[in-house]
Amino acid sequence: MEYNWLSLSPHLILAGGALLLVAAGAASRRFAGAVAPYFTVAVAVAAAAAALALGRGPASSWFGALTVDPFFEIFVVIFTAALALVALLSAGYAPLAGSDRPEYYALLILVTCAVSFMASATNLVLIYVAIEFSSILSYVLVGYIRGDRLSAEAGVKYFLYGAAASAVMLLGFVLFYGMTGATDLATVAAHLPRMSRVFDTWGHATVVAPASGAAATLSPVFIFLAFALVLVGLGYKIAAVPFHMWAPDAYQGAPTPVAAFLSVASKASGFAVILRLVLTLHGPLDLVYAGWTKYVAALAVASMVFGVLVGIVQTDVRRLLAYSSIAHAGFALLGVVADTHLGFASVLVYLVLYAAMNIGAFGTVAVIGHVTGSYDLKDYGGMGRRHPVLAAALAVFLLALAGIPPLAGFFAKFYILAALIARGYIFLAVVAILASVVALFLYARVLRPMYFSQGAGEDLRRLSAAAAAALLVCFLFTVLLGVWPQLLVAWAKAAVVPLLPGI
Amino acid sequence: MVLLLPERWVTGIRAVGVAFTAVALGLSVWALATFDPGITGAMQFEELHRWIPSVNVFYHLGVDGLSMPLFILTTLLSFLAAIASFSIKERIKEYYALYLLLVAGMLGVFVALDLFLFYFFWEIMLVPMYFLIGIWGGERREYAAIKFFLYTLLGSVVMLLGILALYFTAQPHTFDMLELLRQQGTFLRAFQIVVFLAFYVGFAIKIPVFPFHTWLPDAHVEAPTAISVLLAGVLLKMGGYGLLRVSYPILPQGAHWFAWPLAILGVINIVYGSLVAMAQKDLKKLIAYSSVGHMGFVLLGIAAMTPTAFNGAVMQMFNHGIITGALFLLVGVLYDRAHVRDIEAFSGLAVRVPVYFGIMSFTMFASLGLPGLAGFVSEFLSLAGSFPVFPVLVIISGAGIVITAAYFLWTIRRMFLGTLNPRWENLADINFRELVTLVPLMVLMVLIGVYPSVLIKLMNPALTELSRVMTAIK
Repeated sequence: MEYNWLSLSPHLILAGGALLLVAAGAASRRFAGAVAPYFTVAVAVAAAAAALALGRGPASSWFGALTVDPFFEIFVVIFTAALALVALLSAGYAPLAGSDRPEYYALLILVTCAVSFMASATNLVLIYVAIEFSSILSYVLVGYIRGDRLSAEAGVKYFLYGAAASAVMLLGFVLFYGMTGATDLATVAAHLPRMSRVFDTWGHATVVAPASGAAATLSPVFIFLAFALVLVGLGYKIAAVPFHMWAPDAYQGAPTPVAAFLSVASKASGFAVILRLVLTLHGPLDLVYAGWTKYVAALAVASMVFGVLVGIVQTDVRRLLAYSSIAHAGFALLGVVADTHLGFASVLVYLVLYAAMNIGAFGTVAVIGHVTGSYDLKDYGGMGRRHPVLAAALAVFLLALAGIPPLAGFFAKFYILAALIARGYIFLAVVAILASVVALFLYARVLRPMYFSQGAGEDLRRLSAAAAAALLVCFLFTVLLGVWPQLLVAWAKAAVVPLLPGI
Repeated sequence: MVLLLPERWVTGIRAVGVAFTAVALGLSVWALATFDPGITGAMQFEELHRWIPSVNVFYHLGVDGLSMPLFILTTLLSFLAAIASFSIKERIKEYYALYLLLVAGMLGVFVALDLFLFYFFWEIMLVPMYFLIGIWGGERREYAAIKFFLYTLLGSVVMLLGILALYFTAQPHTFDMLELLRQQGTFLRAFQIVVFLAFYVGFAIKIPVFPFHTWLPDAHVEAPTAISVLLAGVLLKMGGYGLLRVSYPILPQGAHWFAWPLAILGVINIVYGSLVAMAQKDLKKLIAYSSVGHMGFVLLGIAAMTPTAFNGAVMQMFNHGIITGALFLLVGVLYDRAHVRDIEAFSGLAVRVPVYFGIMSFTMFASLGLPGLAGFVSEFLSLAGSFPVFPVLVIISGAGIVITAAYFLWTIRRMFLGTLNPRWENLADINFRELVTLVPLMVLMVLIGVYPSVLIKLMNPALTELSRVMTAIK
């Protein structure tokens, strides 16, 4: 057991930045309000730089409660990138103008801090606290627009579902504790009966032998039950069917930049915990029931199919994107189902690429909503003529989400499919590609009015430079990472391989 | 792609669009001139760069006797269609940007030697095509555009599964076609059959093979002229090319297993396509269904696997490209003036537009397979090469030829002969720009019809080699 203040630096930078912003807001509201978005970007960059610097070094921990490693590094980069982009998008977002600006940004930074804890936490208690921390802040952000009934309703709905889900999850954590008497994941894993596994490079696993019988008296059912309960809470966090009900309402009611943040950072944080748990508790899970991946697969398939089919009939673009994000959660879960180095790495790659394109899509929708005052598909008619650049940007992001090369979404899906095929999960791969084909129809519902029909609408406001910069960054990453994903793939592999036992 | 720069500068944008395709055409002609058809078993103008080393993806390009004719066909048609696109009057900048992206994708498919790259180019085409049909198309353009998009996307994702299956079965894992070719002996027969079918779905939708053809009439009819030309002239060839480039050499046992069904489907295409074409009232739809029939000869030739049949099939792809390309250009010429495509609406046009009448009849004769023109040679080779393998099927497909001749002649009679419909008193004849787009194609039709060796010399060595390999495996 050792501690190292340095390993906390990304979290400390974020927390310190948020407090500084609140303090500045108390001193001079006008000044703090004006610089808040840019200050947030600076904090995000600093935290990312700290994480990157730490990730390069050896993995370090804080009394075993949290671990700073390349896995953490990749997630912090997703979170801070989302933070910076969302801060820029929020800068010109009209409905927020009357609200308390410095506090809004401080909350955003704090949520980022919370989800960063989720990615680094290796202790059940800390994981739970981090999840609650991030959820509570999220409820506030969703309901942030004062006097807006939709926003308030969304906040409450999100809160109620969240409270139930986290209670169920806590029960799962308690079971783990009861079985092992420990809260840190390494000890939990060691005390549960385990098997060691050997992986080859492409993830074909061979079960070697049960390693120890330390806790052989435990009923395997409990292990499975504990894992299943935890999965409910995390399924809520990543908005997987059937724990998704809050997402469309929350995304619709929340300030749209916040929806962008939730759909990317919050979802990624859920995946961070899922991956951390699965990677650490691999052995016990396999011993109990080697087919545990089937249950994850069921979640994944339900999310993809349901998300896509229900998404098609939506008329509010934010709800449509919410269902699309549910489908994407399902697709990414397939990487977990593959249960190999390749599979876990493909989830990380997916989350990074998804972050770029989905913030881009939500961001463009926010900007269009800002410019035209509407989120209704009807009002997207003729957007290709009225706002050629915005329409083209949205088209690119949507096609990327649909998985059309050379954009980012293609490689993301390709890599997940590769992981599935490598394991011989042909059926899942077929379901996944059918869902993607139908998903194209979903995105075409937005493309069609933009380009194929005429529409009248007047501009309410001009596009802000900060939002334009954020969209440009998303656009560049969506295109560049799609064409040249090599570095990302290498990074994701490096993050996953050390966490799995075996080679 | 550089086209995104100039603003509302109409002539400039057109010039840039044409210039780019002209450069591509020039380069491909240069490549043709320095291409040595005698070399078999190796690619020429090969390019090989690492792209995504973590998953063994390479940027690998090259051409051989199989891809060269289709490559030339693509650059030629895209150049001519760029000129024909001058009739597009709105949103010209977007049009040419998408157009060039489409051309880039098409060219890429024919030269890619890495399956990942092949798929990449294959899919890149879908988006510009979707918008080109959806924005600049006819009345039912939205429906046609999304139908095309969904159909072909479905086909290609199934193909993607096949690609991944190949990748993980190969040791070491690779997407490289030449490397997979060397390893094909290690693939089990059952595996080959399954993967062959996965690829087949992707290719069959593109060709299109009955019953996957229903997107084609919609897309062809609704697409603007130049895009119809590229759809018929180039896109349909990708399926046949894919079969010969990927499925056959890498999965020979799957190909042998599927030879009979493929031949039967080819004959269904020929007979069914021709019959349905006969029943059409819309001129563009008639030509679209004639494409279905013509592609049947390609399938039959591919299924037969003899050197003659292979030559016939590839040549038929090339000829169908120039002939049907020309037909769509001609329909566009008429539609620009009359704004109707109903065959019934016309009669006695020969008096008003004699030059147009001459060219249209000439091209239709080429399409129905009049000896001396290109279509005859390739249909003959395809049938002659298939006869030893599928004698009964070849005889049945003879019926298709008769029907094709019947409906084209009937169409000529209905549209151009008889008394002139007074509505078309002032119809203008074909103009110089339109002639420029058509004459090169007519010259080629005669050249290939009279002296087919120009093409055969180019592709025969590669195709004979492929045929030898295929028969050796059986």
